[in-house]
Amino acid sequence: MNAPNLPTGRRRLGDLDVTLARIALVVSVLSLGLRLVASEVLLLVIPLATATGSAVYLATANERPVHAVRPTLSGRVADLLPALVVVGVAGLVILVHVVGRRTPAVYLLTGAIGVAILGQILLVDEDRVAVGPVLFQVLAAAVAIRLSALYATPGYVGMDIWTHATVFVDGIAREGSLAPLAESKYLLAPVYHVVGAVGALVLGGPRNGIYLAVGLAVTLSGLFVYATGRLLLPARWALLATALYAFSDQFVRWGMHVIPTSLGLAFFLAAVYAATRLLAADAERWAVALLAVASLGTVFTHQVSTAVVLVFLAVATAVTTVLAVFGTDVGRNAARKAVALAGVSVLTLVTTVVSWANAPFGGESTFLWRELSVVGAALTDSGLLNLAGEGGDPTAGGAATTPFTPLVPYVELVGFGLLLAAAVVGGLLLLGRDLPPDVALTHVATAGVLFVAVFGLSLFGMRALLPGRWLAFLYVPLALLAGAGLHQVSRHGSRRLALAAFLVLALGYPTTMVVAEKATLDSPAFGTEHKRFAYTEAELGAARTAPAVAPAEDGAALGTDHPYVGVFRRFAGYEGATVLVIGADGPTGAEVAVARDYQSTGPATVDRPEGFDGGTDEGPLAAAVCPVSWSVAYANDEVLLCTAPPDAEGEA
Amino acid sequence: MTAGRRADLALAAVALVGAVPALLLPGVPWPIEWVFGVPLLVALPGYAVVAALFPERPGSTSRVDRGPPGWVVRAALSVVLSTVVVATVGIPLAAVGALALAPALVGVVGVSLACLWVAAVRRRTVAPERRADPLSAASGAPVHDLLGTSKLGAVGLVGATLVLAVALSVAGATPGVDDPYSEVYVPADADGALAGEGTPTLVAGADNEVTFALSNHEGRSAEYEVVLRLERLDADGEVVARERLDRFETTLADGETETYERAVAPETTGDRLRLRVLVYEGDAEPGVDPPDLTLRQFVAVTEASA
Repeated sequence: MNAPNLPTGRRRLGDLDVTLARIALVVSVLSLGLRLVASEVLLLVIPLATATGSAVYLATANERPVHAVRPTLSGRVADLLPALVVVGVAGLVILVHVVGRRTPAVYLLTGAIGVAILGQILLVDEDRVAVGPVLFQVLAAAVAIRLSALYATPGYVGMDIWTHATVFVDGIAREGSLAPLAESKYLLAPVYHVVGAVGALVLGGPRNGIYLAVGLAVTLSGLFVYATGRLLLPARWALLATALYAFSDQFVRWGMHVIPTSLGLAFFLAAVYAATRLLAADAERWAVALLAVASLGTVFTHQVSTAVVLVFLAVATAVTTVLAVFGTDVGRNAARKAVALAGVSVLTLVTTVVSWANAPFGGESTFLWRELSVVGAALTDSGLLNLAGEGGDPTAGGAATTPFTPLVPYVELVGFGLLLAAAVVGGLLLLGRDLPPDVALTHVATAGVLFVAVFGLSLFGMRALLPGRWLAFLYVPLALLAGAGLHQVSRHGSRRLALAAFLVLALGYPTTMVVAEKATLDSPAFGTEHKRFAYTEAELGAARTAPAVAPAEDGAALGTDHPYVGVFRRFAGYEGATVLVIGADGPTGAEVAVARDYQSTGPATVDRPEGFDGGTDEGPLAAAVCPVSWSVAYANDEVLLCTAPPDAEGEA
Repeated sequence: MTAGRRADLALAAVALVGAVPALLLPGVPWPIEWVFGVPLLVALPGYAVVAALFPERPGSTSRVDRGPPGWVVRAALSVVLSTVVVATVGIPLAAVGALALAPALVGVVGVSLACLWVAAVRRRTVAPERRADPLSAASGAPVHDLLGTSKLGAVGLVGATLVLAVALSVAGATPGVDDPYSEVYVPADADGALAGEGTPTLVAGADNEVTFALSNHEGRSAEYEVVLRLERLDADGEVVARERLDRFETTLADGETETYERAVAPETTGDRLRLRVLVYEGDAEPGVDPPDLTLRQFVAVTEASA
């Protein structure tokens, strides 16, 4: 359980960490005022989490470790908890298989498994924390949570995967060539698609190929969080970081919506480990090589992930170079580390530019020029508190709201808030302790820069770089810093503070993370608030049969709700399919409208005509999508394909 | 050096070579394909590379940032590097239009076996006490020592793992929850009263063709009763008169689709009547139960010309 560098308790009031904690506390409290001018829930959660973390740090920033007796579980409970967790995972597999989807009972069991794992890590006596069994539990739970839901869900979970799986991966496997990528930006970033295609050939189809060759690898790559954590922390706290990451909504998201972002995340995790090892162990050749392989692997997999890796490399290089030039660690090793990082950074950047400059995009331009123009336009359009999301003002379907509805965003963000608060404590700790400064500063600075990229730029309406995709990457340093933060609380906090922090984290984190929107795309825990990005057999059957009823090549304008429209665009061949615009008399601008039961029971959305003032109590959306005046050319148990009456066709 | 010192490499080689017939021969059950195929994609190639890179066992010092990486790091590297190996083999094959199961399999297995050979050679150059040897390190010691738990904890964990294995087997071997459905639709290439653009016109008293398809996805053979009905509506869309044009029963096997061409001779006439195809599944009774599936088309029915 020895870590390379443990805190020494050398902290004094007036040190950088304490000063920063005080500043962060004041700024966080003051920034709560932003909530008065914008309704974004994060404007409340982020300041509160930062203030809490800063306050906890100040409360634990004493000179020496507190040698209070730590709260622990009894020996018998500690002995049996691992077995209970694994039996719980087995129960989860069976329950999802029997029920056929994830239900509240499944989420309850999933949360309980998370509580039991975090409870072991936080509350078991130091001597009883067994690394292997805990890692086994974390990985078994992580794999079971993702794959049991994926295999219980017909088709695929998510939106983009319908293109990646049915057009690209299946196309490559069938044709044996990269021809399906010929007009795509992925022509020069084909790793995900080719690995998925090989998986499809080996395991009998793109679904198995993607889920097992890519999805399983992505989930298991969480091991790198432990490996990185051990370079910074004792084993218990590295395990905590691993469990926090494995149960985070964003990591679950990319383990279920398995697209190039997912594999990019796995390469990023490897790159973070390699860079940390490089810094901690004086630039061993294999660590440098691994960093180069992981970085280039990202370049050839996914563009947004590449941007994140470039930011991470730039931060690590800048920190190491500055410390080598101006810091106290000016020996030969510091220069070597800086040169190694700079070399990998330049190699990755040059490869990225060359790749992007040659990657096709939309048949007119290359990905590089397209992206530069998009970023340029976004910079022009940005402005403070420009928090509006993309798209217009859609109307939700027939899901009824409940008195609990306003609380849902807060419940979902409890896990993120706890992660951020613990990471603030850990970040301040790393700044104040005598860990090699380049390692500490790199992780703190990476977390800071990614945090600004995700939330800071969004505050100004700058979303051209898809900040939502960066969150899972941000969670990596946050989880590591959170592990350090809880270590700080454990060593320097009072027994009461430590017990409170441990219990709140163990009980609050997994139970809220597993029901968060992005962790439940297949079957939202808050089904009246969040769309289901998965489909029933009947819904998929309609998409399969639709071309036999209204062939896409006949040019009929087909429309349906969001997100169902994605299946028709990406899977059924209706490239021109649109989200329906529903006026007072039914759909406008569409000749074929697809209605489904979910439009009346869930928050599927359609658009409204400009200036529409139809009120809010208009009955089930499905009835408006397919009015009685329209014909029905297709019907199954859940879906109707409706065609416009002759007198309405002129409007189409 | 004993053979046991390379037992991990030998096991990996056996699994790699065994994957070739398991995945290439026809008729191999899918669980066996998965047992060989999944490690081939996410573990073995990377393990071979890692074994070749690190012939020494993890550092014995308490410093985790010194010496060869530990077993957890090697496990993580095995996963990610497996992806790299599969991509490295697959991309050139796809680039020349030759990506198929056999060449991909031969490529991945070949590269992996080459790495295992390098690993075996490199391990020979390392003193036995420093040589990587994960299996012998794990053999001989009591399970609870290996796991770092108490005896009770080890027994519980091993038992629970067996329960998990059984659960996975049951979930894999039994079908999941059915999500059955049936479909009725008008094929785009069909003729007749339900097809075509605009408002189709039928002739009263004459045989008019009505074509539609019925498809069974119920997971079992299913019986259907189909009723064709013509309806006159008032200004509010309420049915004020109805005429049954046809009624028949049919049975479809699971996955079967049947196209029906029915001749109907309506008596009701009008410019805007509603022709409906009502499908009742199983024991549902027309006129008593609501239809399970409905098609509708607005038609005109004219008197037969003299």
